[in-house]
Amino acid sequence: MMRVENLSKRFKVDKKANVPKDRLDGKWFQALSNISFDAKSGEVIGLLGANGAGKTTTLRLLSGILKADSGNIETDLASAEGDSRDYRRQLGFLSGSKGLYERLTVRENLNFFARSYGLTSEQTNQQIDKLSQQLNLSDFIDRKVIELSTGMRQRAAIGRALVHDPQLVIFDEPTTGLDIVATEQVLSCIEQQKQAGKTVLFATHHMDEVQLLCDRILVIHQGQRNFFGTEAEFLSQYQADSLVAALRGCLQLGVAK
Amino acid sequence: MWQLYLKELLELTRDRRVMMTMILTPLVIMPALMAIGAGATAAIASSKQQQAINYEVRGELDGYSVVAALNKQKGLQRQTLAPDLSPQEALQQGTVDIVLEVSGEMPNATWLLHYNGAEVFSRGERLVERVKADLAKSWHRKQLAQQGMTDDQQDQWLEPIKLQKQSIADERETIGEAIGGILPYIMLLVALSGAIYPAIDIGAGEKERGTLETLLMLPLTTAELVIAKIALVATTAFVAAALMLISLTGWSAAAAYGLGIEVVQEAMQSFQIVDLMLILLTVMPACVIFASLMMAISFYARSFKEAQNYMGFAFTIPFLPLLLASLPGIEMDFVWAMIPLSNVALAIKELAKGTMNWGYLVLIWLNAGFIAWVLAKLTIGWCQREQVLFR
Repeated sequence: MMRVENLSKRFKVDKKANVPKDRLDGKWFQALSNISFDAKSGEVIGLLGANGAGKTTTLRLLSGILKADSGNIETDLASAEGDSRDYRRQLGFLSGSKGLYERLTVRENLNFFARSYGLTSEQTNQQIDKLSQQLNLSDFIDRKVIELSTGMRQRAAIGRALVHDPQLVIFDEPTTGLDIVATEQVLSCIEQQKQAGKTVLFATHHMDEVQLLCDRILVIHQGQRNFFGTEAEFLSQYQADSLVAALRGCLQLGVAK
Repeated sequence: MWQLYLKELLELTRDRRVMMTMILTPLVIMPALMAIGAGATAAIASSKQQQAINYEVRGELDGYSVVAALNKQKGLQRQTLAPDLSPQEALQQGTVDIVLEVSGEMPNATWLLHYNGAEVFSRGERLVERVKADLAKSWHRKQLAQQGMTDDQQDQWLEPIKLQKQSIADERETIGEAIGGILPYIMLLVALSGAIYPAIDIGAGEKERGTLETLLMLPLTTAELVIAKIALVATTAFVAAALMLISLTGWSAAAAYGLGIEVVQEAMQSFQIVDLMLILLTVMPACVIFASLMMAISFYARSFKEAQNYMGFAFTIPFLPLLLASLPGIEMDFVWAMIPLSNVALAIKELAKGTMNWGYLVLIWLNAGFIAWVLAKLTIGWCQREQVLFR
């Protein structure tokens, strides 16, 4: 379970920065304003929004990389406030950049991340064996990442994000640039996480993926929460017959009443 | 933190560029460059020594023969120039190396020597000085003989004070003084160059590849993350400097024993492992200083390329204190022991000579250690800022 309340974040920007003027307060750019939502165990939340809406800032706050100016992020076991190490131990994050070290083998990557999350040598080996089977990594687990195809890298990156068996998993546009086979593997992995009772946050621009996987949808626009609810509520709210039409309506009309 | 350090180390050992700067540069490239430089200089000097010096003498030659005296010197060859050709023109044309205009008789003779003072290996001036001294001495003897003095009395008159020299410096100190000017310079610059590429790779490089965000999600504080990276860069800088010292020692020993240079052999025998260890111990805080500076710059840069641009500038920063320390006449005292990097360079010089004052050495370790700690602390604070990490 995860609960996010009134999350706000602003950044200092220089005069030449290309940012929307209506969110500018002197030298400060209001990236996020009072974002709230919750996610249950075994639930997939789809995070939608146009480029520059504040999705990346939201994910960085949720991942503990950035500190919020105000608001709370909590899970069952820990808070992202203060010393957030316990919180980060429960978190797995898969970003578009994969987060793998190219000069290391897949096994070395997995080993490093597992040990850094505090797993013992024995636990690490067990997890690597388990993920190797689940994600079909065995054919290339001892090859350097730089030698792998995009699809192989993505599987290895999923392994990297899940190696410490996190309770909360965040996927940031994980299918961007992937072919259909690799995309299916990623979507299947998200489904597996859901089945395993993990809380999943999934940022994407693909509405078919949202329809396939997400239990609830969070739309962020211009740093604010425009909508949070189920797919049916989303369609009803904006009187649309498809997610694309609903999203378009949401982004044009602004915050739902 | 230890896992991160080990991971970074493993990754860097698989990078050819790091291996080049950290291992090949001190072990092969620098010694090879120094050997080529020394060999080329020796070859040019030797060739110049063997070349005949062309000269012309103009003016009054009555009473003593300058030409005869010059001809007694080896490697001098007289050229006859056209009377209307000026000495400057003759020198510029390269027809002669020196032109000597003589006038008057001793004791009121005047010689005007035309030569090219910019030529580093020119022997002409020295030979003329020698001829002048020989002629003056023989004139003095002639005058003293006319006074009825014996040869012994003439010797006493010509050299009324006999200077006997007794140096307290042994071969180690003499050689140490000679190499002490350049050893810290080479070691610290190799350490700096050993730090630059790894610093860029694990700071700006990680930002560019998107792996820094993944690291920031680990259950580590940002301070722990930065400390691990500073430690790694300091390690590569130290390894480069240590290999440079080992390489120089090895090559010097090979040259000294291979070529049978006894003075260097004796100097090397007075060096002990503990001397090398103390030099390395002194270099250590300098490596942390370099690593902290480089990591602060690397984390600030948005990309690998931007970091490279900043590093070009950063590379010049340590030059001034190192240059100051290598100037002739600069000796270790309390003030120099407190100047960062200059103190490390001077300590290496004193350790090479075997004349290190232990009080100063401890002071330098404390001073350099403190500066390294402050810089590392500032870098950690700097890198914890979101404006720096997410520029």
